[in-house]
Amino acid sequence: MPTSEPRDLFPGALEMMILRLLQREPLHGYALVQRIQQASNDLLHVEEGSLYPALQRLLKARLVSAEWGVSSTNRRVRIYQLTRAGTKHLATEVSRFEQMLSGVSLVLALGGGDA
Amino acid sequence: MRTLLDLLRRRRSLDGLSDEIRAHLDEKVDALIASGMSRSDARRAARRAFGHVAQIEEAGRDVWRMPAFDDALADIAFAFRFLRRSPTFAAVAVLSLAIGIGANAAVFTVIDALLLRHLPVLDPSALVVLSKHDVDAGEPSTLAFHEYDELRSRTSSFAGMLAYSGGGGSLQPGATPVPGAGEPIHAGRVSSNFFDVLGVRMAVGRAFMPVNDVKADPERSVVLSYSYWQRRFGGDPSIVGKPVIVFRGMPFTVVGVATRGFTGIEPDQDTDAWWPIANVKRMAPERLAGWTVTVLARLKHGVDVSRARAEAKLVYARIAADEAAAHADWTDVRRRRFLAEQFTVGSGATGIADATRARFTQPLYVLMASVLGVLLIASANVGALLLARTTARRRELAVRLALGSGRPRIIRQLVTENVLLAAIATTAGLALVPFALRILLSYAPADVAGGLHTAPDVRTVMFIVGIAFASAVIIGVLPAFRSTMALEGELTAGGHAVGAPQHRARVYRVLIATQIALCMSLLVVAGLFVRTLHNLRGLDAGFDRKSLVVVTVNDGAVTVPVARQTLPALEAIPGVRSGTFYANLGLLGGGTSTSDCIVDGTSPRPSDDVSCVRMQVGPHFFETTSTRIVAGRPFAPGDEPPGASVAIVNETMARQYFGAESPLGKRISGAEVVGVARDTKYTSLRDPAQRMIYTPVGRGWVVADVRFALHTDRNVAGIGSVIRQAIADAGVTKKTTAIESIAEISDATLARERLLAEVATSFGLLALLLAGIGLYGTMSFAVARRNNEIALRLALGANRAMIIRQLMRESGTTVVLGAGAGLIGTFMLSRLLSRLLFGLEPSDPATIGAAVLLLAAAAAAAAYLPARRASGADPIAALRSE
Repeated sequence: MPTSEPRDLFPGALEMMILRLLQREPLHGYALVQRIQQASNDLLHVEEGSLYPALQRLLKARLVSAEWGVSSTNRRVRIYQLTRAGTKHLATEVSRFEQMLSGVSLVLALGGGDA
Repeated sequence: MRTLLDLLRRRRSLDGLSDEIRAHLDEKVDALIASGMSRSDARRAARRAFGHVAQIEEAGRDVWRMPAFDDALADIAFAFRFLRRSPTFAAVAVLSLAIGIGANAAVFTVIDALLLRHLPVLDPSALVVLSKHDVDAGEPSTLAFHEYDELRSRTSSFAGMLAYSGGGGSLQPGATPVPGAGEPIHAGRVSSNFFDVLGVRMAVGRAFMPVNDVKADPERSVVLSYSYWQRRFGGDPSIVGKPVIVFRGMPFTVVGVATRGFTGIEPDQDTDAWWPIANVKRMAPERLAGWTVTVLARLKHGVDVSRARAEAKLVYARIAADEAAAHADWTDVRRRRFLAEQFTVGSGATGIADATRARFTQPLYVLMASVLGVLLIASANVGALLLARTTARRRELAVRLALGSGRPRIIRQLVTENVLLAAIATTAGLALVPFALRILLSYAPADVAGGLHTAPDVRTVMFIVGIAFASAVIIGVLPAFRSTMALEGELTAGGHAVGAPQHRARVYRVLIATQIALCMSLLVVAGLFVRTLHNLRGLDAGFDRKSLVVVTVNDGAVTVPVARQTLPALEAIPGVRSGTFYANLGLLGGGTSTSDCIVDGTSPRPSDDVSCVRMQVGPHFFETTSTRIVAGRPFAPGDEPPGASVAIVNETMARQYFGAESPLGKRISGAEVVGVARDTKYTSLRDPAQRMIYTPVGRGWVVADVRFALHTDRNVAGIGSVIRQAIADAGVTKKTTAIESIAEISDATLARERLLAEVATSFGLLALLLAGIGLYGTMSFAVARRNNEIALRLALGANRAMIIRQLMRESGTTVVLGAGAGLIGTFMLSRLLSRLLFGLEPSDPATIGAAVLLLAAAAAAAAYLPARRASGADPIAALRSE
């Protein structure tokens, strides 16, 4: 799979972000990239192209659905929308992520013994 | 199903991917330009931020990959390319397999329709047929109605028992008969419980009221078949309750229409209407008892056939004994023959078609074996060619194996090629089935051809799938395994095997020998049938088999005055040299009747067989049929009873009854013998002439069908309308039901022999062609592989003739072995065959010799051409190419 620096934090992170953004409103690919960059205060730099295989994975898993529409710049684009399964999947993923994050934080909070 | 759905979703999802990406880049470029970048910088920056477009699209496609499915698709595409690259091979392979599969499907369809298909009735497997068989003839003779009635009332194994008598009839709507207005139908005269015993429901109206047919006054009712109702009355339900004339000008009432799909209990006839058989009592009360019927019964639940058979046999033995005792007038021979008849109870699930089955069962199985043989040859042929091609492709395959393609993957690809071939061939073969069926059925009488239900059922579909699968296995799977096994061997041996590995050569040999063996058998069988047909056609039947036209006039009763009034009109037609009429004349229509003939003043010993065939004939009979009178005189005006009582006997009768004495002047059953006619084969072309006695038709003669035979060289097409006109002009209101030439009648008589001779010959020649192609193809490949060896030997001083001779000797051994096996196979079938032959034995040396010569010539030609080509190779060029 084509990846370049900076890469995904971990497998599934991109998908999770896509699902979260789509939960708020249906979006097309370019808009999704914009939102990810805005929302992360440009901290996360997603290779824009990698969005599309991720969207295909989500389509295949029936977590999102797509329909052709017209973008604000008047281009024919595919607009993605969260499915019911997608909503459920996002909820479990988010809670698992939070658990993992708190676990990792606890470990990291042990502090450094570097002297 | 799941895969199919995923395929659709994949298509929808991936289809827009490129557009979507392009739109994304465009939007990005616009945004960057808006932020002050130049167009070219913006484009570069957008691409950089996006990543490698082609790789991303590929990654998107990877998401949806279905490995097994995609590989199979690739295999099929590859196989198509492979077939397209070698169109001649593909055409020969597909065509030969298609003919094989199509012919098999067609023959099996007929076998299924005539022999295997169950009647569309309630629980058909519980039905049994009660019948008796003449010990000599082997063919079933029917029971009399009174025997049926006694069997029904005196047995307890059956839940119900019905009587049936099928045959031609006529139907006309309305209550008043109009002469000549009846339409011919196939009618069933049935016991009143017919539909109840079968469990057949009515689509409209009701069935007959089950009553005691012997005692009760029969209802004058008719039940129509669904298809006749649709065809004739447009499915009008108001026909129920209306009158129709089906019997002796009396109005009957339509009471019902049988359920859709039920066309009677004869698989080779579609019955149009049924009426209660007890109505024959209206002719004369005693007519019912002697009426011949077919008896079908339903076993009681829990009673097996053997128990029912035992009981019915016992009951029948008592009935027969009573009957024989009641007939004091019977001769001993007749009594003994009657009592020796074997009573049987057999399966009735497939209905009744005794005559057609007796005639066509064996030929159908012979044909089935032949077409299976042809398919086997075609499959072995294609298999051998594919194997040879795989061998030619062994470098490609070896490289792919070496590059890490798994053996299963390569086998799968080779199998795909072969399965694809089989699939295309099966499709093409199925397209041929209707044509093949039409050809096959053209040999059957028209009513049988129309009556058989040849729509595919589960069994035919299973059969077709089975043979398609079997041929795919033969052409594909075995060679595929063989060749990859050999390849692995070659690779480990250093990739440079020169000669064919021994076991592979053996596979070829077995395939070729099998083809040759089957081809040999088919040729011999075809030759035997061709000669049989030739013998029967050329046989001196004792009567004219060239220039006769037979006209049948039917519907109700035709009397002597009517016939006499018509005959001069027919004889007056230009080109008609003479004419006669009769009712029953065996092969010339109407069957035969046999009775006892006793010379007056003698009393035959009870053990003497005094039965003879009786023919009642009209004026000019012997002259019209060109039957020579060898002694005495033909009939003359004034000979007709009751004014006179004269007879003419045939040679066999004269010889057996009177020996060296002249029969002229002797009296038989009161009639004076005035002449002796040549022996004729009116009863059967195959059997020796029977004793025959001719008498002139008398004044009281009344028959249902009268047949006029006209001696003319004009053909039916030319004379038919003139004949109809002449009959109408003579004031005859009866219906002319058939005008046939003696050639048509004779061909119909020989339908079985023609079927066997013509179809078997076609398949024999096809087999020869296929075997020739197979031999030629494999020989070509084998020779091509040995180019180096041949070149080397030529360089070392061998001459072309020696090379050709050696190459041909190698394939010659295979051919001889195959042909020998084929001959042995034919001998093993000879018992089955001999019953179908006439005038020769299955081991007929001329036929076998001709078949061997034909096969040898074809095989030699097929082997010689490639051998000659190889021996003509330039040795230097061949050696350099290595």
